Amino acid sequence: MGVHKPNIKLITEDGVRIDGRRPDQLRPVKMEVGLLKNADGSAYVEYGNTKILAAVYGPRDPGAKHMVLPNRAVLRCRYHMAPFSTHERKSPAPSRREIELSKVIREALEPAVLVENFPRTVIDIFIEVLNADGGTRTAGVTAASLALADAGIPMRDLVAGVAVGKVQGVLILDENEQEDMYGEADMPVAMMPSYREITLLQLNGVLTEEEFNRALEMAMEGIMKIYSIQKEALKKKYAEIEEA
Amino acid sequence: MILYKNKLLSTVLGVVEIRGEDEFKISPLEGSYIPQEGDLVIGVVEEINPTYVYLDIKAPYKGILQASEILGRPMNPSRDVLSEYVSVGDVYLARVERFDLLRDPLLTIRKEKGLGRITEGVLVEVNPTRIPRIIGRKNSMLEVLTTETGCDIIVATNGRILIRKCPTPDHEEILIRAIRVIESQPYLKGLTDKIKEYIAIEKVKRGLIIGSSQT
Amino acid sequence: MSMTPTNLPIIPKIRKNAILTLLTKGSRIDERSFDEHRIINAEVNVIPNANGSALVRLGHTKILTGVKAEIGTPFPDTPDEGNLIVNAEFLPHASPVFEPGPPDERAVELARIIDRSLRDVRAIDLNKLVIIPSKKVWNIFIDIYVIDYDGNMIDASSIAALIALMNTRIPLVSIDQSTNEIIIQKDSYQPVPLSKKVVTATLAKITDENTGSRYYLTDPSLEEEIISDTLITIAYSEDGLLTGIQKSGISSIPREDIPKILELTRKLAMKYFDRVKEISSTLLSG
Repeated sequence: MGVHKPNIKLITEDGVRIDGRRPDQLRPVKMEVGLLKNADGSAYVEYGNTKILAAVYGPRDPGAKHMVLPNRAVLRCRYHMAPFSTHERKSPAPSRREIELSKVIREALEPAVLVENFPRTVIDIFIEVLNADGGTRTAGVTAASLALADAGIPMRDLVAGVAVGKVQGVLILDENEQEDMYGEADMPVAMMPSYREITLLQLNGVLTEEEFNRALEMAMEGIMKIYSIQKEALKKKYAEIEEA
Repeated sequence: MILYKNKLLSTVLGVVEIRGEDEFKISPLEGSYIPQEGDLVIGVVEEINPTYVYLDIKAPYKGILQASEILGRPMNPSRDVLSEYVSVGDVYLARVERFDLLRDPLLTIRKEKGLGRITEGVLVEVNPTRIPRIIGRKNSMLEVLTTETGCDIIVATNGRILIRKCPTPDHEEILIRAIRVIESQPYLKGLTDKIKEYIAIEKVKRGLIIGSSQT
Repeated sequence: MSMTPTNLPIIPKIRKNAILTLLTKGSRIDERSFDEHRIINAEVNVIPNANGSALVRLGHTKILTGVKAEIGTPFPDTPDEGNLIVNAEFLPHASPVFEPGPPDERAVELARIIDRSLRDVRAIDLNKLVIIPSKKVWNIFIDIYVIDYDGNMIDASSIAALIALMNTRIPLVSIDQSTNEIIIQKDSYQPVPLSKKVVTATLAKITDENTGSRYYLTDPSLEEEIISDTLITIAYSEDGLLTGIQKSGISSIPREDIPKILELTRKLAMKYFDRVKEISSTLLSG
């Protein structure tokens, strides 16, 4: 955020971004569900070059009895970046950022999972960033939500996320790494779209209140698009089913 | 299902069956087995404690089988050593006697005939959500499977099927394949007839019957 | 790995119901109104060995913040800037549920929230902290110590960090031209180049399951925090810019509540700024 930019113009006067997108355009999004054999649920999501693999195990018996709650399932969530996922190799040891994001992502999924159905169990959610190009936590939440659905874990709704950035004063949707690094703001948002409930909301950078409101609207439009792609991905897994 | 602002939202990924104006059913496509009282289950001994054993029943909760169930009489702690009567890995056919989410499910093997330790047969693991389809409406699919293959099978609710006896190893193989077909396409229309056909074709392939499929 | 907390302090049901009943009548257990913060007191320069320090009390929550300035090398991608490093620890003294050990996820989150609130708006002019360009700079370490937890550690920490920074003195240095050695001058100081003041403002969201009503309480006390289902923190600069947002907690926030949340947090932040100004002028005259 706010790193000295070498003289790159991140967006032209006509609103064309460095990768040719318009300000309110998502990157190409790809989603696949149920690709891992052993995990109870799994999903692979791409937002442009950001690539995320998510897996879910559970609800399952916890190892240690003190790690349970008597009236609901405990969620355990790990957000981790592979060492080769970033420009410079990242040490495999959890960084403070990964610690914070593991918490933020878990808290983005908690409102969606019907944890009261499985007391005294654990639901493990693993999110691995295979390639990082901006928006890893929102793509991560989106992938984790698909993996939870793939595992058959009852949920109030899917959770879909996208980030809004600001470059040269212009709000942009789904910023990539460069736009994030050299931009003035980065606002990741995730929601349960059917209820219009926000489950993840952060801001790095500076926005006026008016910009914040516009950015939130932009994020919600992006989220609705991601949501329909999620539903398509889930349906695709069972494409051979003709009729019940 | 959740009712929200006049819309009904499904909480799981599933197939919707509309059965009439006000009636519809959602059949989940995935999910783990959650025990219910009265379920028939097949469990594998995982842990032996002094007065009870834990069975893996493919659920997030372990099944408890008390010593008195295994011994068939009250246990005498000063004389009986449970590990002399049961080993890790033993397989039991049992009923869920009690389960209320506050404690692990309690199993019984004494309350009816046919329950108890399983010593022979082949165990097939399936996705628990497919069991209703493998049984079928009014046992229709189960009948097709047993009649057409001549095998003796027990289907447990927790996603385990015991194949007790088959006329020949070929019949056993056909049965397992048929189960896998049902598992991968559970909500296909007319599945019962398709499975009947499938079994017949497989029998012809193996020379178990002669000629084209007979219906 | 982040886990749903299993060791939170427990509130007896009748206490929770009492709090909710009061809320429906428009009051809070400590008789504050919905938009008031607790009493704030501060002492500065309590740690002689630190370059700056503050002990802040927000109600019974007590935060001790120490600022150290050390000479170091700049990061390769910012050769003409000093560095800001924020760390937070929850002392086991502060609560029966804090355990000794490496900072847990909430401490990491807290530090990063405070860090981002200051960094992104460039509250500290890091380019005024260069000693020898591309070689030697001042590194400013802000260490936040939670010593008593009675709710709303985030705002208390943010106020403590701000007051500590406002009272931090960095030694003046000169460079020996022949040896390129840095000479720290005795008894000559400059203040930290703080060009903007920033505070966080936190609300607790409490939902009454029976009625479905949602309440947003400013500067939650411990009990209010425990029965809340989510916290929402917005960082503001004095000129009303949003310099950080963090939703934390296991519930969600309805989109329609956002305007109310913005209003409540902005007003709360301005109240914090007023109080910080009061404290500063008292300290100056005192």
